[in-house]
Amino acid sequence: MKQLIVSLFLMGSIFQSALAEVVLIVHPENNSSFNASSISKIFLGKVKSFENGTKITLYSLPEGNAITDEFNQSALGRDSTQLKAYWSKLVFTGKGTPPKEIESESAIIAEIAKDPSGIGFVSAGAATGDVKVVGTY
Amino acid sequence: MTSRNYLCLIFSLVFCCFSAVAQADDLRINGFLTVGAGQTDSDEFDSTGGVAGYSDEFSINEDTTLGLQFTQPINKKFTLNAQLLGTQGKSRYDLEASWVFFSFDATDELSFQGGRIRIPYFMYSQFVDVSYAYPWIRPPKAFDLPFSEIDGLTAYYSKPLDVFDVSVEAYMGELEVYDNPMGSFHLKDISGVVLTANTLDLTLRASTHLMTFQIDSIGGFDVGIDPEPSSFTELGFIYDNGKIFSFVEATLRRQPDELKQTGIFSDVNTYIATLGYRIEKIMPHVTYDLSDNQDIEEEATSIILGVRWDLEPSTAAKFQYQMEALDRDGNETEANLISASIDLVF
Repeated sequence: MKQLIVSLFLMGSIFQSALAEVVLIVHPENNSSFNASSISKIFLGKVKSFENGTKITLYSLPEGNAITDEFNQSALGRDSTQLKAYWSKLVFTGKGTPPKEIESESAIIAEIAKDPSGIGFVSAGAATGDVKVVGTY
Repeated sequence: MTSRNYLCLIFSLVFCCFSAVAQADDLRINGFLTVGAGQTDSDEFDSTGGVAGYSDEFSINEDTTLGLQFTQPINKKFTLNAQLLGTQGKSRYDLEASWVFFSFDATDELSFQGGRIRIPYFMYSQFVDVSYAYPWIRPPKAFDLPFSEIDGLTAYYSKPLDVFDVSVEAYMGELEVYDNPMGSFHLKDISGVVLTANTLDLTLRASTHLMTFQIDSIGGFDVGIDPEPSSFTELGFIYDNGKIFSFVEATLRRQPDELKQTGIFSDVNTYIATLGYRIEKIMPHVTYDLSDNQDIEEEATSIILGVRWDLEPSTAAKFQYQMEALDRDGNETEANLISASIDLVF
């Protein structure tokens, strides 16, 4: 019985990590408000400035990363291939700049902590007090 | 100097210039690569350029294309872009091309581009070489228009609204062509307006274009034609909800009488429709493509059955079976093309 409980617990934690929550983070001084529609327009490069007028710099984890896939699917409703095709249309017509790819969650947090123009996403557990969480997926 | 050496030289020169202007970490380099191969089952079209350049002999040259883009922000609003394109396809107009354009972001909504620009005739015009960005291996025949790269200026206004995001693009420019196999001519007073409205899933587009096709000589003979403007009108939509992909576009091309009398120009209507459905990483798709000549009894149709398979987020493999038919005065010519490609963006 004890073994069963332990294995159920283990299964539960595996299940939970597969569905890790993703949080949207900005610089602590960024007081703009966000909703599903504005976040989608920001990450598709359609809205280029925050409400406070600051130009937006997009940060992303590498493509193929599970957190990136989770964010793209829940916030934008697209997989990474479709987004790559979307951005290549903008890049090769000089009409847009795709998110800066940063290797790790801690590096994204470090970048956004010092960049008032930054917005990005990390897993819920990774966010620290150096950045402000403005959305959860 | 062979043309390939020449291309290498341009690549290196542009690269050096861009590196010299700037900090290496500011310069962005993006590119696309398509490696394709194919063969037709008949030599019916071989004397008129084949099917998309392919003949009944196996070839790996026609769709194989390499493009590089160097993007150099000069300051917060001003960006310099250089694009280099190399392809060996017989059916492509620019075997090797390089051009530079600037982008100036006046505000979040309004930007300008100037230099070598591509006439935005079609929904897919401006990235027609980036095969990765669409389902087919190569642009369907309905997109086939020579002399689309001009020297000009574009103003682009886009505004995200609650339901639809809207954009207006207006451009003007000109192009002088000498020593072309067709003759020597001057495309002048080129101008046009493109309107789009889009949501995440749906893009609606309408555009109209005008240009004057002044011809100095055709095939070595001086003709000195200075006609009325030609017009081009387009209407289209793309609906893509992540599962279903559908695309429809119609164009009406109208030529003045002076040009029709040369026998090279005629009024043509084109219609294209594509439907695809994604099953995980694989998207089978079907396309019907018709060019209907309004002046002579001629209809060119192309039916494409294809599959796009996304191997990685930036790599796709494609297979395509294309049934090509030309009906001229009741005489039908047919050929089928089978082709495959790997497309990359980086």
